[in-house]
Amino acid sequence: MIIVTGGSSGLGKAITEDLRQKGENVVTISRSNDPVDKNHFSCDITNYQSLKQVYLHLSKCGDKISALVNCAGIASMNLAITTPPLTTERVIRTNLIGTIYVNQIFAPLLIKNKGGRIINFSTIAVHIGLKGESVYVASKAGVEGFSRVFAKELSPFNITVNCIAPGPIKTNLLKGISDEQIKKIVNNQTISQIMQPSAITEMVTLLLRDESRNITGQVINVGGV
Amino acid sequence: MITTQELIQIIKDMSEDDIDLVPDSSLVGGGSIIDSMGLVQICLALEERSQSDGFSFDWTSEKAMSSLNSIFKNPETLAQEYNRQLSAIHK
Repeated sequence: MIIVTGGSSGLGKAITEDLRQKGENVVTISRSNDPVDKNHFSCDITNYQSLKQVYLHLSKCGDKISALVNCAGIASMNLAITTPPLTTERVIRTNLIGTIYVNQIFAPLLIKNKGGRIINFSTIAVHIGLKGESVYVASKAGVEGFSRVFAKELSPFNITVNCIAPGPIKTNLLKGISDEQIKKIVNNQTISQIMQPSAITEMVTLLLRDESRNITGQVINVGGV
Repeated sequence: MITTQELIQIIKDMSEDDIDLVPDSSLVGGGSIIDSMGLVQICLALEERSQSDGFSFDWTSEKAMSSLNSIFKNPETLAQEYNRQLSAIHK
């Protein structure tokens, strides 16, 4: 079984659908309600106790959890000086603290499985220092740092921890960015084109494979930088 | 309830080496004979046991890693914390 956070929209949804198509049993965690999907938990990743309840439920079910893919996140396009404090707090809480909570709480399920994969999400904006995304970049740079260290802490348990750092992908997260800005970002990539969600689902598949067991603590920029 | 001796036995059973553990042996810090991997395994073993006792052992409290009052100070303090959490659910 694979846990995907943020699995109801954007990249998370694309990853969930792709994994399910490949026959994987996927549990999704997101804020949205989906009364139809029995493998969905409605939960805000910034709420430690709610996540803990999901953990206890999965733990009691006894299903083997082999991977955790953390897609839940929010974007904020603002100059640092004009970013409202509540936005700063919300972005850091969701992207950084929420990701840390999810890693902390669900890693024991992978330890019980005697191995597994954790995939966190960063962004190309960290590498290129994208103007107008300072708070978002700060949150994702934190995720990269956390992942590097967590990879070391979990390596004795045969668990790898990596970050995928996409460039612009055709999802709702791009809504607030102008075509000109997107073009500028894309020009920073080695492969200068807007990626489709499939570029990310393929990378997830690659990292989940047994052959990727020695790749850990890495930030993988899809499209290259 | 878990006794300190039971907890010591759990830790010994988990360890690959023949370790010498007494109720006040350090579980964290410089003098510990348990590594960080061992500590995680102890937490998971206690969580498993706690589920059969009808609760979920929480090792993430602020107190857990306090240098002076850590619940991981030694097997005795860890057993005390386990029993404290167990009795709290019956209140």
